Amino acid sequence: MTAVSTPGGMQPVPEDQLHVRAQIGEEILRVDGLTKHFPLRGGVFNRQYGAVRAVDGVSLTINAGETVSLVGESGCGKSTTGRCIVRLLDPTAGHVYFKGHDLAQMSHRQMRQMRREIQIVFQDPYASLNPRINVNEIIAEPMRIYGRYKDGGKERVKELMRIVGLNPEHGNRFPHEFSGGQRQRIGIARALALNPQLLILDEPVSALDVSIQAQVINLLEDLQNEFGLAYLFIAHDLSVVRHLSDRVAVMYLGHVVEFGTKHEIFENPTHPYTQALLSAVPLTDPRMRGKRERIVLEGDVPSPSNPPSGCRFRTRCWKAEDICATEVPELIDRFGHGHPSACHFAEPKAVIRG
Amino acid sequence: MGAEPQFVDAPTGVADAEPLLSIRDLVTEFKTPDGIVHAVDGVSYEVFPGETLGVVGESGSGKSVTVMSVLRLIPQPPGRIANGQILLDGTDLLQLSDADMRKVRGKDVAMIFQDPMTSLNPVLSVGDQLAEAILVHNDIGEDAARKRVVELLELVGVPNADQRFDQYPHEYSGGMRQRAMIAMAMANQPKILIADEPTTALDVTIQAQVLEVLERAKEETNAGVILITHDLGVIAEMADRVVVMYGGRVVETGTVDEIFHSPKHPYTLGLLSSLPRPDVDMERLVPIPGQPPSLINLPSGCSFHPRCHLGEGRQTCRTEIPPLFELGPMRASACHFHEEMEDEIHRVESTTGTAIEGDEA
Amino acid sequence: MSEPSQPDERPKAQDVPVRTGLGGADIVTDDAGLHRADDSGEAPEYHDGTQIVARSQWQLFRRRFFRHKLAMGSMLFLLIITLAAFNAERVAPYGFNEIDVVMRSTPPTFEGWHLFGTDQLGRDYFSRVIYGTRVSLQVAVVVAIISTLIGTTLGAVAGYYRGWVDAILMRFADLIIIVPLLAVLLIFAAFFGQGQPMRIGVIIALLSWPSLARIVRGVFLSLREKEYVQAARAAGAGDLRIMFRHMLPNTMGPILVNMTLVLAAAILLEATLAFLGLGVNPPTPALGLLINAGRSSMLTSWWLIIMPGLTIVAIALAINFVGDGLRDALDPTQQEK
Repeated sequence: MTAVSTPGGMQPVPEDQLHVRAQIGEEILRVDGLTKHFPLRGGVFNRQYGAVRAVDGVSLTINAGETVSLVGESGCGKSTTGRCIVRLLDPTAGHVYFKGHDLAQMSHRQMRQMRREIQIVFQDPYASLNPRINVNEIIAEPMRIYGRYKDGGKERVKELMRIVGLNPEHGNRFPHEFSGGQRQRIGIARALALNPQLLILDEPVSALDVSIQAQVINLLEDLQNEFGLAYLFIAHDLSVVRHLSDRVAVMYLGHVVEFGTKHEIFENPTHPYTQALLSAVPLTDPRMRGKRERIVLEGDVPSPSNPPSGCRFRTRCWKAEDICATEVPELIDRFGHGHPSACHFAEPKAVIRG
Repeated sequence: MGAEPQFVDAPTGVADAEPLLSIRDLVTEFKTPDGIVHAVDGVSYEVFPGETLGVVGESGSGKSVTVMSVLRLIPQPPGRIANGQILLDGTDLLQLSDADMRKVRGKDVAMIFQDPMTSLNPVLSVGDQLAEAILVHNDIGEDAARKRVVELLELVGVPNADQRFDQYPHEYSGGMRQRAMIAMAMANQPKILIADEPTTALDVTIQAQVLEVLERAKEETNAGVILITHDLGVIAEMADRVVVMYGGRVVETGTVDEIFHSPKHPYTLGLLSSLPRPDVDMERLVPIPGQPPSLINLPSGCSFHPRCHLGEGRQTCRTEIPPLFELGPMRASACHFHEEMEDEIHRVESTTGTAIEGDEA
Repeated sequence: MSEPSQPDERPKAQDVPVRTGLGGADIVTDDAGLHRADDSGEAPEYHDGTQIVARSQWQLFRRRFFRHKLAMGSMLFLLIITLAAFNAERVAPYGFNEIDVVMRSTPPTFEGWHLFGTDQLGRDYFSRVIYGTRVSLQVAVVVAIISTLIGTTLGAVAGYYRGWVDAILMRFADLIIIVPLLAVLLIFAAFFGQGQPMRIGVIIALLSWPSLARIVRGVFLSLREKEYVQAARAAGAGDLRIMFRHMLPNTMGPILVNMTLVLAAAILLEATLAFLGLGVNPPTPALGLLINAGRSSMLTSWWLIIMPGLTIVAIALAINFVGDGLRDALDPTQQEK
């Protein structure tokens, strides 16, 4: 597994070739040192006195056709990372290479071309659709924006609705007439309108009922297989992550603390936070009660405006030593475990089972 | 509307216990401009001392409205408890006067809500609010109340309890607030502790802490805990017995092992097969098709039939409301064809690639 | 344990494959659920719980508005008044300056249709009030439209772009608020002489848009962060498209409500100005002027003040009630399900 922190990437793909789909397995997205700070202002003159360091140097890669999940608890910066990649937020520093082109440094006008290739699906099915526009228009909008509606746009909208499991005859209805799961499908149809190569999915099933979640998860799987889509799946539900991902990046307080394949992360986690996270996930088998090691973290998550020095996890970590306070652990594979981990004392420990 | 009265009898051999709380044929409805919402449509279940009863269901299943009816916190109008009995140690709560009911709330029956930020008053200190809960039901001085509150806060694992007493809710983290709520609920040694989605809004590592505290609270008070959630993982970790609700009705009851390893209702099976698992790879999830039902216009017959594979094309399912068939002590299923469930389980297992029944019996 | 009384003919469970299609694509979905009752021969003794089709937002709005009886009544009243005022020539029983020598200084009476009485010259006040209302309404509508246009535009730009654009626009709005309306009107009167309804309306409008601008700015600030706006941005929509297609339609509620408030205030303001002599000048009929004219004979001919005054109050109240009804009708609909 190549370490993510090595710089450099591919040669930028020529612009007219951008929409050509890459081979499955070829790298299409490389995030390098992505940083986003939100300034804290105060005082009479609105001076900046600090910053919320929401994302502080995140690096990962995504290949065509694969799902990389970004996992973490609230406040870890995963949503912010997703939004920076699609430039809904402007990164403070770092690079986001899509097929060699750095999205983070582009102007918004240059970004326009790239937007066709990278789309986003939001968490809240109720807030992500304009209540005053009917479904046909919602799905058609991306096409209209890029002037692609005239040529068979109407049919494409119907096609998209069918693909996501909605009845095309309902296209002239309004969002409030649909259930949560259906609205989420509308959001997915909208995201697919321009035939993107990469979808950022920001907690797409968290707000849905359990029985509906599985429907949408299956839908996402099928869409990925049929259209060769790459997903950046942002979530906090580890069960869903296990089911959908190829690779997983675990985030804590603005940093990626561990990055590996699904099996490496779930069966062989080396970072203490990952281990704590996995040991806290409730298992759906009552016979497993009491059979696992329980790692209960002390204390609360520190504030991202004042993170601990060195390793940010050290205030809650049972392995913390002096070096943890002075030296920020790099996301590398120190001891040959097979995947990178940001811990000076990384050590594999199976916690998901007994 | 409403299933025939069929409540499961107290089991013999479970420490000869009498149920602490017995809900019988509860019917709660809401009048809306679009029609009457049958939120709770003939629900019966029981809670025994020292056990955790898990109530599972999705939104619209009626699980929350049921316990709100127990506490008589349903706004009437537009709500109305139309039928039923709620027996707490033999006394029917629905027959109590408002004043008597107030004595029960917070003392005999305590509740923890989902969002700790909105259940705590932001302008009062946490300690004061907890103390109030004690003072309302006990004739002790303020100093004694303060002592007790600090004790409780320590019990639920709030560090520096004495200083934290004077802090305000916004100074507590989400997990700590929920713990403070548990402390408040425990304060008067309740007989029944109701936790309505207590950890849904919390991160998973915090959830683990709070559930642990809940378990400790149960042990301290020997209360019967009703744990309401849609999260089957939490049920698997915490519950002793389980009640599965759908469309305002109870569809299955059993021990937690029975529910997870040999479900007798297609909805339960649907929930289990549509869940991805963190410890095991599943080949393919088997979702429950369709949407949860409208509570104004419940499907005729079995309310699950439009989404049910077992009931497909079957007249009985469409026209007859299934009663809760008794399958054993404390074990019941509201499915006309519960006997076919074993085959159904095998059919689903072959798609998901994981075993539901498991190895140990 | 009960058995099914009639055996059902259906394939064995194992023979039926599990449906795991595109989360439901091979099963036609509708609002209710998956199973379509294909057995059309069946008597409708069962149903699959198809949900009552939700009403469209417009229907919901209409239903709520109609429930607000005061608002409905007020709207009717305003409709009648407006129609009467703008057809004054045909509706008013007398001309504006027509004199009925016989019935001078009569209190309100049905005789000769002097419903609001006459003044010392014998002019019918009912007719005068109708004419006067026309002017008042003209001014009010001009004020409402212009101030809404300015306020919405500036508020939208400020709320959307934030930063220094917002700061400048809002400081400008603050400046406008400080400017005293009466002083401006006085100066205007001094320079340009006679005030015409339109000019008065424009001046008032130019000085009263800040409150609406603030409101629109506030709504835009919050809408900006709504996910459907973010979605439009992520899809590549430009600023104008987002403002006009996504944000403005969702701001209509507060804008409409505010517009009614401005209308009502404008009516009152116009009357006050006319009364003070700063507004429309005679011989143009205006309600304020009528009240002013009646001042001297206040004690003997009370109707000369009361009737125009009541009319002003009635119109302002009616507009307010309509605004109330609008607010009630729009708010719950705006809350997404």
